[in-house]
Amino acid sequence: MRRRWERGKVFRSVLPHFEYVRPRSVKDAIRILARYRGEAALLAGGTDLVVRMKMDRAAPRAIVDIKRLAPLGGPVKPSGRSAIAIPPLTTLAEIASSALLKRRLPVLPATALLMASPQVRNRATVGGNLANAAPSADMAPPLMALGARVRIHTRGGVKTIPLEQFFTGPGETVLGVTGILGTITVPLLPRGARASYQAYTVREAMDLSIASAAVRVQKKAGKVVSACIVLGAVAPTPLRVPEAEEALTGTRGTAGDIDAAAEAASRASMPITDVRATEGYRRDIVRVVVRRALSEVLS
Amino acid sequence: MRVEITLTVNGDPYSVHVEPNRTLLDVLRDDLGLTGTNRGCNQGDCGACTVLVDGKAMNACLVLAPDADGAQITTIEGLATGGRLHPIQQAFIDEGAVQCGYCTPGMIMTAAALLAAHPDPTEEQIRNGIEGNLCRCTGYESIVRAVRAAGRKP
Ligand SMILES: Cc1cc2nc3c(=O)[nH]c(=O)nc-3n(C[C@H](O)[C@H](O)[C@H](O)COP(=O)(O)OP(=O)(O)OC[C@H]3O[C@@H](n4cnc5c(N)ncnc54)[C@H](O)[C@@H]3O)c2cc1C
Ligand code: FES
Ligand code: FES
Repeated sequence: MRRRWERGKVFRSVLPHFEYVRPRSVKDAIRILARYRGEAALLAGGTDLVVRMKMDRAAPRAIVDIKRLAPLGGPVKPSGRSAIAIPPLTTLAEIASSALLKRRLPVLPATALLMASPQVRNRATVGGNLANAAPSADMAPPLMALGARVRIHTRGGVKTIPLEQFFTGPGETVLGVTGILGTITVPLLPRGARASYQAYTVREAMDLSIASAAVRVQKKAGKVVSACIVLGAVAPTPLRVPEAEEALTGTRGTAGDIDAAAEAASRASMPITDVRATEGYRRDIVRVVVRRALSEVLS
Repeated sequence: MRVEITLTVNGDPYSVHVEPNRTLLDVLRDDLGLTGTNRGCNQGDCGACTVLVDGKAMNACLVLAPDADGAQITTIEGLATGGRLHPIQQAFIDEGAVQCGYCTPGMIMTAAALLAAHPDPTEEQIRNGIEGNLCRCTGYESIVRAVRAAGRKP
């Protein structure tokens, strides 16, 4: 095994050995995951998993490639009259170019385009972004703010939960060892509602966010009647901030109202200090991204 | 345990027995001897390993070999047709967009995919299009010029 030092971490130029498995069905995939008792990993685009294996942060005994499982793939399409269904295997490039999403939920293609690079977007999937559960995962805040629900395939059957209940910690979700993330269903925006996602990065391209914010705000007769505000990269999971939502609801959404909501969001955030930014700086940036996102939807 | 995969690389069919823990980049360079595709960071950051998989630009260092089974791959070695350089290759030469050359194959494959989707890209489309390709030498200006020049040609 050849090793070299990379960003202070062990870096493998040769991956550890594993068995490569193509399950025949979602049920079959769940059975295989159960058989390996936590020592198998699902593979979608691999842009997180393969990198983690090279960084020596994952060494699964088996890799279960779900890319050819029909129930997890297929096109982005309407779900009933008031929602859009996004299969978990949809790539970020497909999100970015979906005519349906560009027309009805443009915040999602805009978010996908902010992420990674064209090459990575051609492989990376939205399901992988959510299931990987990085606190900085960019698709999570806008999907949560839009009120997305996710289908979960488990040994006991299939259930649907709000995305808000999906994340349990950094890299951890309700999926546990044998769960598989299925279709993501996103309600269309009600009349008078708009959404925005703002991420703050040091570099413009290929960089993880220092802090980000997604907002969905609905106005009626000049007043904010509902608001959903979700922060990224400033807590163990994407973080909904009811304090900020309450600060905004019932107001006219003036610059002062936006500042108050941004301040509330900043106070409610729980950032850490790491190589990218200090805790205090992240708190300041929360204020900036919330203000930018709210200004965009309330202008 | 080795698995057998079949690939079409630059139009030629191959059948390779590989350990599953090898990447498409390893197979291209080490098994097929196609060393035009470079290994830089080996983790998706630099774009030196960019190839076309079923027509789409991808980082070969992030694709597990068994995952590429059945795919149509185009590498820098396959871009010229009938002894004639692809317009983007000629434009890189004409605009002096190559210095040390390490980024060049990946940069050209990325640009070829961009030009296939947008035959006459704007400067913004070009800059966004090559955001996943690092170049330590040129400062990118000559590369952007080359892509523009190739775009203007029919
Ligand atoms: C150069 C580079 C730049 C990047 N930039 C960004 C960025 O700007 N923003 C960002 O958020 N991310 C970024 N990423 C991270 C990554 O590309 C994304 O998180 C991507 O969406 C992951 O999807 P994938 O299909 O490649 O996941 P994979 O690596 O295949 O899977 C990720 C994890 O999720 C699990 N998984 C996958 N699908 C399912 C499923 N359906 N059910 C259950 N578990 C599943 C896998 O087992 C694995 O643990 C970047 C990565 C690279 C290499
Ligand atoms: S070698 Fe693959 S992106 Fe750097
Ligand atoms: S020419 Fe040297 S890295 Fe681009």
